Amino acid sequence: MNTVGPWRPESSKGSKGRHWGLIFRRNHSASNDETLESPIVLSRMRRRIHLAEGFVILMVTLLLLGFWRLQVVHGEHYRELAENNRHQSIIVRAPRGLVTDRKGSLLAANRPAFNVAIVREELDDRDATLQWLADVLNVTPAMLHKRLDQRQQGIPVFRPIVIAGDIAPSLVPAIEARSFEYPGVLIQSEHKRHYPKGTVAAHVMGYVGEINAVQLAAWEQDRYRMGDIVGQLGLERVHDSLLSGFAGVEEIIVNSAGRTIRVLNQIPPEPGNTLTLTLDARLQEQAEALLEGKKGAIVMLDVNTGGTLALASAPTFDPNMFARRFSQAEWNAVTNDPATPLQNRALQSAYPPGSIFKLLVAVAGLEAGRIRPETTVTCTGGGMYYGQYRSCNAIHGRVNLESAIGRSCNVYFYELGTKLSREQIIEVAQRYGLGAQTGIDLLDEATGILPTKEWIAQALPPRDGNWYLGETIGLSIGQGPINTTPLQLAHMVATLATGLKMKPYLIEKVESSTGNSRSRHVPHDQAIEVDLRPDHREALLAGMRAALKPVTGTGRRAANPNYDFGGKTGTTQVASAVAAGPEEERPEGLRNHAWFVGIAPVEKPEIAIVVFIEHGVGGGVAAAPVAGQLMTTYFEATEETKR
Amino acid sequence: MILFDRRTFRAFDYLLLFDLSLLFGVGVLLVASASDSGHFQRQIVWAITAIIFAVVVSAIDYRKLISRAYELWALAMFVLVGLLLFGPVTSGTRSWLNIGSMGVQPSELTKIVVILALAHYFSELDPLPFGTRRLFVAAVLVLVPFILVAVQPDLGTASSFLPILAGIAWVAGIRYASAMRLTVASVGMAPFGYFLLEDYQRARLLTFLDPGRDPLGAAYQIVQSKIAVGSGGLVGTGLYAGSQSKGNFLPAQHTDLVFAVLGEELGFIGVTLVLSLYLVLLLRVLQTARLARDRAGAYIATGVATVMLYHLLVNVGMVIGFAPITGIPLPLLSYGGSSALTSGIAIGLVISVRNRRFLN
Repeated sequence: MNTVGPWRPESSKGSKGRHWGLIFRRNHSASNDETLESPIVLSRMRRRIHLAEGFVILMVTLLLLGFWRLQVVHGEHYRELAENNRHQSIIVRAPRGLVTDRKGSLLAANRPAFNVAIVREELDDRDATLQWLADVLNVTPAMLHKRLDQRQQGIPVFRPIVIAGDIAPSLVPAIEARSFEYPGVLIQSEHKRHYPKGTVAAHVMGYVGEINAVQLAAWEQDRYRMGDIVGQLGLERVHDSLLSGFAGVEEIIVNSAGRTIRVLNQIPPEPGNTLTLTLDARLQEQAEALLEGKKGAIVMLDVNTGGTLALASAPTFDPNMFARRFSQAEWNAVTNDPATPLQNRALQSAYPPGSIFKLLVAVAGLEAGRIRPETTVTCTGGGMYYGQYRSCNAIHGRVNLESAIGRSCNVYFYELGTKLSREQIIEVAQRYGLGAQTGIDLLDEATGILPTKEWIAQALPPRDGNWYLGETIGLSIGQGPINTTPLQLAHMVATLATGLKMKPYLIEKVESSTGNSRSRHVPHDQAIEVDLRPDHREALLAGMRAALKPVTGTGRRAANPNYDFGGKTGTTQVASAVAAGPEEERPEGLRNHAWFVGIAPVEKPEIAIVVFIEHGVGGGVAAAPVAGQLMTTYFEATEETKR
Repeated sequence: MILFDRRTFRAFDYLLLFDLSLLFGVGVLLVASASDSGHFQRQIVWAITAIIFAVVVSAIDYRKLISRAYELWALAMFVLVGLLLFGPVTSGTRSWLNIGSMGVQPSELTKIVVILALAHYFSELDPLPFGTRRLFVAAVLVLVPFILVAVQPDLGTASSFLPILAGIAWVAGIRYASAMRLTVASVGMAPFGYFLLEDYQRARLLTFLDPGRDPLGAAYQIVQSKIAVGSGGLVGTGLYAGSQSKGNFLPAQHTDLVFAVLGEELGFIGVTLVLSLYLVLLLRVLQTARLARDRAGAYIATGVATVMLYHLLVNVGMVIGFAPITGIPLPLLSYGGSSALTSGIAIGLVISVRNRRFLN
């Protein structure tokens, strides 16, 4: 091709004059078949190539500057990062401490759980692998794809990602057998909290779950880490520091796949302590069985120590659910259940104590000198007090303190109420622990309500800070602004039985993994004297024994002819009889609450019990027999061990 | 058409061949350090084969190849289409052609074909300054292979076709104004291109713009590569003694990130030496373009220089976080047969151009 011919030169100034004349000249050494380029074309090309050469030099210089900055200026920093890359501290989680009942039967343990994890880097064929896993695990491949997609965000390709948690142990060999065929599939094992007896003592044990952001920020900073499993309710929560142990550390040198090349240092984990509870699993199980299908609570205390033998609340839940990966639906079923199964009715809810409170009113009367045990009152089935007619549950005739307690005579206590001030009654109630937390090692204990001066002052209108004398009459039989938790009443009865206020507790013994053990219960010298005169105590115990007398005793259904049981029934009105009609025909929510407090043996008390059944209709009918069965079991078991 | 006369020998570009061989040698050492003996042995074979190819191709008269450039182009497109239809899927792409037990990537060799086709096209034009209209046919010559390779999918390799056009058009005399317009237009088109990217490519791009974004995910390569390079310091940890490459912290360390191994093990001094070798190579190729007897020869050399520079900037820039992760190899240093052979052929073409600057 020829470059001969007129053409428009470049507009660039330099080329204009200088090369114009060269266009028509043929190239220098050309003497052959092909035409060479004209000098003007060549010179333009060369100029542009020179510019390109400058560009190349500039670019390579820039690259060199980049390396200078990275390697020489910041070299030290990157050397440090490189070291960190290779050194890794692997946290070795500590096994959580075991929990047993007082006789050593397991209430909380750990079981191995198996997870299926995927190492993306090693996958041959993601689709085929997940299809196979889905078949083995009996889920849809789409679900596994979705999980892997969601969980791989921000995770390096060589790190395992769990796509199926806690699979059936029987599937493990099936997956491992074909691991050569499907590389990149890993079985990881971990410990999961396990409650071998299921729902037994669920409210005491609580449950565990992954630590949340709030806890992470508030708890011991260097002890807990993201992803730790910690107690979220009950003893698991309260004594997490005893149970969780201390994680160990393995300092290792790894390659990028996370595979250990060399172990530098190893600090083994320190397993959590083994806790022995005061609970007796047999009594606990029976208590829960007796509450089955009802709402309510049972507490049994060892009156001589404050140790809690049984503490049941119904309805209940299975704490194992929280150790699994549970679904939103399961969670909602538990948390939105109107029967509030997570609530510990034994201590997180307070109810009017009704006639149970008569025991403390009697103490107030005796201590104030208003009555003596032999003081009698004639019950005609009711009477006018401060312009209001108040009825009794029967016409009892002449009653003394013993029969008044035994037959739960209201008139006796109305009369006593006219001779007592609110302050005198409240002082005794507070001395016996009402209106305050008992201090048991569980969270969110309710304080209940007492009509103290402070309470009256801040109570809602129309009270306006007033207390009416008629109200003291109601208070004398446990009605009015008074609420107590079942645990408070059990505590109160235990205190009456011994004259010593002992804090209820649950942990009998703490045993570390190295075998050191220590006792946790409150020693006797820390118990508080309630200054109960022995003759007053005798009189009250006599009344409680009378309550279990055949025919006349309101709590006779708790009695067992073989044993020396005592007690007191309580039935608290939820709605007035006039408004709601006969008890049995009312809807459940309007029926009366049933109470029974028991003590045994009356002669030399060992245990105190409280049975509370929400809307259980009558204390004598619904609560007393339950208490009787449990007390019987306690003594039968004691006799068995003696034999 | 292969001829060796005395003048050819005297004029033979020993410097370029020596430089090429040195770089291949460094590459073999790095592959040996970054990988296993199998890769090392294969890379030796490929490096030697590539050098032989360079010598053999240098003996071919490039004008013969230029005259067959369109046929070669058509053949290459035929192979690429066939690959898309019938090619085996390897690592998620249809970019490999198996010949016996060997696998080659036709997309690599397509770079040579594109250079020849563009050199042919522009050398047929009047040697006048031109605007964007003249680029239409050239754009077809580039965009067809671009699309065929991009859908394999191998966007990294596909992207290397575009700068060839830019480089040759620049030397062929595109007007400054047109060049400027095209530059502005391609920058303006970039956001639309973003929507064509796959998710992982977008992640890489965003990571490049903000490396702190996702240090364990998409940014992993950039972060690890910078750590390896930075920890090399001035003199490096010594060949075969890099902790990052030995611990496999560098992904794709014998292919795309081989330069990071160099940075870690031989330090800034090693980097400077190797970049100097590349600089000599590029300047020598561009000098050949200046000295070429005809425009076709100049365009071939320009095309080779452009594609080499592009790979160098993108690959080495990626290693130090100057460029996004694209997954394209570094010619002469990275492990890989197709890339090595392509580089050998390309340099052979340049030597052929240089040898014939006096010959007719």
